[in-house]
Amino acid sequence: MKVSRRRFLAISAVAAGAAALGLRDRDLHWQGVALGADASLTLSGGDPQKAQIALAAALDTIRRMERLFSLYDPASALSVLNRAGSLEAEPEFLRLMAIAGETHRLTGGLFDPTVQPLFARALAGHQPDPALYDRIGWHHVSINSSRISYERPGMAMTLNGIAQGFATDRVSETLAAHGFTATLVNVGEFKIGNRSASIGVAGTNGDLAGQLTLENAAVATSASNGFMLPGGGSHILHPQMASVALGWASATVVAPTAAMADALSTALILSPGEELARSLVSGPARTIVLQDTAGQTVTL
Amino acid sequence: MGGLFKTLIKMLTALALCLAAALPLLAAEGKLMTREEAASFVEPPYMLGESIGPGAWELINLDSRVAGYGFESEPLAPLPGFSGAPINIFVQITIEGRFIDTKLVSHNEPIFVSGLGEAPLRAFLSQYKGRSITDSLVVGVPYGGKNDASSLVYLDGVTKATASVRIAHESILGAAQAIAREKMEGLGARSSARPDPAVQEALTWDDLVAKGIATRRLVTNSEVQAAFTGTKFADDDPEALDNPEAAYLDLWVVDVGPPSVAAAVFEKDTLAQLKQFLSISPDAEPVLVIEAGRHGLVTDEFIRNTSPDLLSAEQGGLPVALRDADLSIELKSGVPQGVALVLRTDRRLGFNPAAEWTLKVRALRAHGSFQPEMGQVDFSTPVTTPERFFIVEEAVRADPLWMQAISSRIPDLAALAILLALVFTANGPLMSRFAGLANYRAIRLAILAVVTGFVGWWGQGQLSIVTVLGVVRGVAQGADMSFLLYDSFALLLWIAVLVSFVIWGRALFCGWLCPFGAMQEFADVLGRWLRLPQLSVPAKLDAVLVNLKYVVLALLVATALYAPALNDKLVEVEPFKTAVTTFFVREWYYVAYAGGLLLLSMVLFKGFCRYLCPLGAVMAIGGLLRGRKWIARRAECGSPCQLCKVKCSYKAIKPSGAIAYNECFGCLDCVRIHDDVRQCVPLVLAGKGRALPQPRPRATQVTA
Repeated sequence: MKVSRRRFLAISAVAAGAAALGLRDRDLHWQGVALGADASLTLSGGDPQKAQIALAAALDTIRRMERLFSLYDPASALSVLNRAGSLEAEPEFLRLMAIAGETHRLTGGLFDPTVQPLFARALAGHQPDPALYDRIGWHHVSINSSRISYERPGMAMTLNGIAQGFATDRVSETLAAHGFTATLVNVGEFKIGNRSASIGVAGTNGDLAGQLTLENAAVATSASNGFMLPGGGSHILHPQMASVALGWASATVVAPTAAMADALSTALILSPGEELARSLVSGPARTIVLQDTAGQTVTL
Repeated sequence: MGGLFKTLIKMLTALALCLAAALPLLAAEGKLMTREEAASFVEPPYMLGESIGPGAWELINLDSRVAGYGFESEPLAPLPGFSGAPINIFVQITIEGRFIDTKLVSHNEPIFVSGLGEAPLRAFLSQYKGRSITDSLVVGVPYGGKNDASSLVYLDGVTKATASVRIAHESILGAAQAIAREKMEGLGARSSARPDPAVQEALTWDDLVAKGIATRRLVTNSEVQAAFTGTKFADDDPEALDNPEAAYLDLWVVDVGPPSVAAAVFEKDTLAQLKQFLSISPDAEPVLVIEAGRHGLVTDEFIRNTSPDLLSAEQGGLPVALRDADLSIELKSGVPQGVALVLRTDRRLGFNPAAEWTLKVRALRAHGSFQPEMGQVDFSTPVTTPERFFIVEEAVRADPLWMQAISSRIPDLAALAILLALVFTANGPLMSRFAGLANYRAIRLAILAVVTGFVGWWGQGQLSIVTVLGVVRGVAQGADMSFLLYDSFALLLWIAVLVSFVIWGRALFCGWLCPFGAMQEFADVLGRWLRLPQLSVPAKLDAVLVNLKYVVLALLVATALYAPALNDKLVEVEPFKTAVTTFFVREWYYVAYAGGLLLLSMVLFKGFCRYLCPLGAVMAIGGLLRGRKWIARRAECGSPCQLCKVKCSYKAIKPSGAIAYNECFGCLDCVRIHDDVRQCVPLVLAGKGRALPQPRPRATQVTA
């Protein structure tokens, strides 16, 4: 079973964004699939030959991210870690771990990549097993220098709540390193470079819940019904409680990095009330748009 | 006519019952095997790893890496076998696509259930070990000659089970290719290419760049810095921080296998060296890499003529081995200067220079001065060299199976076609003359001898109820029926039989083309020669018994759909496998049964054919398509003359003189009598200037 799209709801604004920018002839546009989701890159200005080199570099980055973080590629670094319980990790993997740890702290533990055993069990169509909670918890992951190890047997991580955001950031960085800063990168999440772009936020029913005009920012949306488990539950699983009333139907976070936006939006789905959202807006997030199951929207 | 109509109603009712029974479609689909079951097929050093799909698992080697895949063929390639049920095989392949093993899980192939037994099938399956799924594997056929010049890899087939092993073969390849497509991108559709010495183009370095023949990969300092940001290696490369816009890696990649490309980049001496190198290693593909940044391509530990430690390549998701070719390189002016290496890879290992491949360059950073810790990030670039520089050999495609099935048996098919033409003509336009020949009886027996020997024993063309049941299952369960195509000899016979339905009804097959029917006729001849007393079945009992075959057929159809295992046993009511396929070399009870039927027909003419044979029932039903009454009758036939009725060994002539075509085997005895002035009573009398008396209310028997 392949979860090709983590999110059913996308921030569906590639076209809208491009239109707002006024896509010029000289813009280089690429569309494809990255980390199991539709992806697109738009580069503005610059020498076309250099743009091609930058694009090649960006695609290489995407491929590298897949090799590191894919849960479905048995040869990926993440799969190796989950199988072996430890990994001599590459720098980019460690960098993502650092962001994951930071987000875990910021969200009071709601964002936790170690829920994979719960996810795997739910995906197989089984009832939750309380015994599994012994092997869940970010604090059981030890990162010693470049070595990542699980402290308990049977642990596993999923980076599906953050890897797309991280990949979006890395692609954006790669393009910038080649001199292209006026970019619009969508590798599962959106990152807008030195340009302004209008991004629509899709509501739970496919309607437009809002519109954000952004520059030098990233935006990510998580939806509780983005991908449903065989039992009918949401794909976003609570690291501490088996059955929990989800906080929000969808959460959209604008933050400086897509990785942070991605991880925070994932955690916000699990957090009822506006308390966490308010604390985040005063910290790493710039704007948060929440929508409840009734379609009521709260913008912070 | 009324009788025929009644029979028709009877048959249709039987057919309707079978179909109604089929409607709920309790398709007997095989259950997926459990992990434990699958594990029992896997032998050390491999272990079963994670599940990758229904009935498919990773194979883990001792080093805990994924070494291959193990999978059931049935869920991936559910090809119905001869019995209608798939042949399920547990296939194990390495990640390079080599067969580790193929083991039989389950099957229902009648020929292997009993008869030959499973040993030949297992022996057949053992041939896959070590072969690659990219090999052009063909099931060799004992009938045809092998072409030693072709690059096809022949697997020994199993005589008399050609269709079954072909289906097994297709199942294995189908499943393996499904896994390869999913897991080993690009494998299985690989064609190889080598540089074409005939392509000579005057090229300069600028041309190579402009035409995309030379590939550039630029990694800036800021890009590599970004890859290490947030780790302890972030500050270990001051130059990357100081000079973010400058190149860290400025890589050029050129495949210098094509002579004109090599001529565009190398000075004379290097060209001569390259030529010398390629003459020693004709299967090597040389690749030039130039690095004009500060990466340097290799570490200090690099040893010439070995694999470069920082460079690697892959194609179609599989690694490509790279080695330094150890050439001293002098580049032409205009070519970017820097660290240059000529790497070699081996086309024999599957590298296809005409297809896209990927070169990966590893960036290293060391942290700490004493026993430093190393951090690494791989940067990669796709490389494509235009196909026009290569001779591309399309992967040899084996002909489709049905075509192989035909081409391997052309002599047999030709002989069969001649035989069929003969039988059709003799029973068609020339029927009266044929039946009237003085030595008709001898000719008929000769033809039957050919049918037994050539069609039956040599050609293995005994049509069987098993095929019919396979079709019924295929139709009811919507399965693929391509298995019909795999036995071209039987297929030609089936086509002929379908045509004959329209012309003669069941008669042509049952009377002329059925090897076991022919054997029974010989038994009858023998019985009469031995002057054995003949059993006479009372007409009333006979009328009941002739319908028994429809009951047998209905039973077989029902069990084929609901109880395939029971069906496998019940189809043995047909002694064809014993008598034709295995030449009576089989378990004693099968031999006793088939032999018993032959002995029986020494005293009861074709008892099996007329009362029991389910295939005969099918033929009788098919015979309803008959479009003409092909046996001429006279007004006197039946009233008062009963000669033909009495003479008919099949009891297929009614007292009224009408032919019961659904019981007629086309022996032509009555045709012969009808035209014979010395036998046909009305003709004999007419010859003497007399006529038969007016019909009387009841027919009396007239003996010859």
